[in-house]
Amino acid sequence: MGLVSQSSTTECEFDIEFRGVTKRFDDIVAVDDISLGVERGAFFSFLGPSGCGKTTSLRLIAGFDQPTEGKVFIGGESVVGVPSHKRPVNMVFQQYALFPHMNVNENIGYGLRQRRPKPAKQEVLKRVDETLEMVRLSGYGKRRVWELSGGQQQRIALARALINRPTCLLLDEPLAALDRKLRREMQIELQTLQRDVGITFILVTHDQEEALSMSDNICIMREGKIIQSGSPRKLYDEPVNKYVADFVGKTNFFNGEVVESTDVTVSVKSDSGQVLTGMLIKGATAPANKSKASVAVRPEMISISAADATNNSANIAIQGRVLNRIFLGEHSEYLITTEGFGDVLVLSPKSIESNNQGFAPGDNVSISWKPDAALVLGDT
Amino acid sequence: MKVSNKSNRWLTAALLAPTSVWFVLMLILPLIVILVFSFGERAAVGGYAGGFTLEQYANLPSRLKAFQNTMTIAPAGTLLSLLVAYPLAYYLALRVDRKYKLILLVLVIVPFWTSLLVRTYAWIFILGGRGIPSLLELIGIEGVRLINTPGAVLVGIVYGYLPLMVFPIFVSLEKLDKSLLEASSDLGGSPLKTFMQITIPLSMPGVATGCMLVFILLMGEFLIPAFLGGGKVFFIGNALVDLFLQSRNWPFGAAVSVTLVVIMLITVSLYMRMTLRSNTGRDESLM
Ligand SMILES: Nc1ncnc2c1ncn2[C@@H]1O[C@H](COP(=O)(O)OP(=O)(O)O)[C@@H](O)[C@H]1O
Ligand SMILES: [Mg+2]
Repeated sequence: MGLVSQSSTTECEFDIEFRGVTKRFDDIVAVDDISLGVERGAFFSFLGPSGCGKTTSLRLIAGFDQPTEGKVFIGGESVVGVPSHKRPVNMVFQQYALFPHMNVNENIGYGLRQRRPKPAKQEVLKRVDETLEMVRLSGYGKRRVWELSGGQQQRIALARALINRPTCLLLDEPLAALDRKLRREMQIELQTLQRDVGITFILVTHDQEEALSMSDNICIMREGKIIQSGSPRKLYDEPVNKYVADFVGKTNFFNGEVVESTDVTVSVKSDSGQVLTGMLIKGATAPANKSKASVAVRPEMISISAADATNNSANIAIQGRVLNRIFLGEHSEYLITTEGFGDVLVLSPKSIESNNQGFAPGDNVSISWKPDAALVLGDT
Repeated sequence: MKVSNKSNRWLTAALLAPTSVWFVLMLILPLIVILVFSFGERAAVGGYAGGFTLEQYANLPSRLKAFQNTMTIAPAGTLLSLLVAYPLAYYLALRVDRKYKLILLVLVIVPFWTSLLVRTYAWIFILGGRGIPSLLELIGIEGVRLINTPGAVLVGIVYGYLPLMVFPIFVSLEKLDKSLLEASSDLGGSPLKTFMQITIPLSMPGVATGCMLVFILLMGEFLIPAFLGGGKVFFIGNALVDLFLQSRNWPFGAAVSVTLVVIMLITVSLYMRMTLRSNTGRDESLM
């Protein structure tokens, strides 16, 4: 899938490809030897905390910056040295960057007006109207851009980029400035739009929920490096390390030292002397004995029962006490304090809640999970 | 804490008072005096004698040359300053490494630390017989005369007024959102098109402010034409110095002044209307 190695050179398989790309600003390494490929028509995301080099990666594709080392390919061709106005990609800027001295029509038609030969005025206007309709802002053509709301400006910025029919659309935290409800709407709209126009979308975001819900493929970055890429499902189920597991969804970590390992399982001993065992992710090599590692269990993989209830002996079980319960409609979220394992987050679905009536703060409970629900992850 | 409406109003009045008094004493009153003088007659020994006559205004054509010079050289000087200042401001705002920006800006102001009088005096030597023309003679070009020509006055103007033009333009280019330039490039705009379609229109407020400052001050200029025009290229300002201080014909001087003020008001308001209309951006702009 979308990830890649330096050796994959099949023609045009990737719409956008990085080969050994490094970008330095003086002594800061913003992007550190990245190689990746984005398939044509995919919805791809760069995900990572602020300052990890996402924007820089996007700017390397757009052509605002040139790589210090390595090459960027667009549609199978190297774009080293090609200035941004000659690249077949368009960007939606974080703060939209709409031209304040032009109205909505003029902003959207800007890209077409730069073409040689210059298209006829009527033609431009027709395309602008079509594009306005696509972003559901018909009739707004004569408005000043700064009179519009954030969400509307966002759509104008989208329209201004899409009207050029780029091979790839670059979006830099496009929804960050919108409020929560609008953001959710725009996420759905963006996905629909991407399916309709069928071009590659590359999204930059620090919001894991956004990346998970929208992308076909995600590339998780830290300090200029790719930590893992893959489908949302893969990242969620098979994170390569603690960083990824922590970034993608909620997870309980039981930290400790490796005491024993086999080909498929690793046992970790916590500071309090308790030993937990977790599965190794397919293809991963077991961490060395005595090295730091964590056993990770997703909150929805843990089930709760009354403390005195008999347990399926195959499962790992821990005694604890309910600290807090938050009712979330479909689920209830419990915070359970345990001896030796710290506080544990548990997500309990409604169907089970209705069987056992749920638990209240102060109740003694037993939490358990299937052995294969626990993963062992290295710290880096 | 609640400040009553009444004491608030008193406070406002008290704060505005010094400015208002200054404004009335130093601007309104003198203007009224000038206006009254312009309808009077010259006293036998010079100065002002009362009366009401339009004679002074009827006499205006005798100073036509000064008006003509001012009305051509002031706009030309403004335009020339703009042409020199824009690239400089552009370079300072968008091209220079941040590290050197401050130093270069200070260098633009440094000349202001010395009086314009002294600096313009220096130009007399540079443009005079023993300056550039004598250098040109060395390479065989003879008989070039620079000093005491409109060209010399223009050079002096551009030199003296450059910072006044550079700064407003620099400020508007500096606060120009750089991502707009990237957006233009991203949408296929070549560097030249980006400059014409984004940079220039968005720096218009600075250009308008700079032009206005320079133009208004130039209309009243007398030092530069006096030094570099050598009595051949004189402005209204020079005529006024002559009328008030030499020939002591105050009423006529007053009439010339009033006419200058009227011309200035008309041009400036026309100009304002023009730039305000063309400037459709979100910027409130101008002064
Ligand atoms: N033009 C620049 N000059 C110097 N450092 C930069 C520049 N652009 C980005 N950086 C640095 O590169 C790193 C990555 O930045 P960026 O790509 O913007 O991160 P992100 O978008 O993931 O928040 C940061 O440490 C940032 O300070
Ligand atoms: Mg960023």
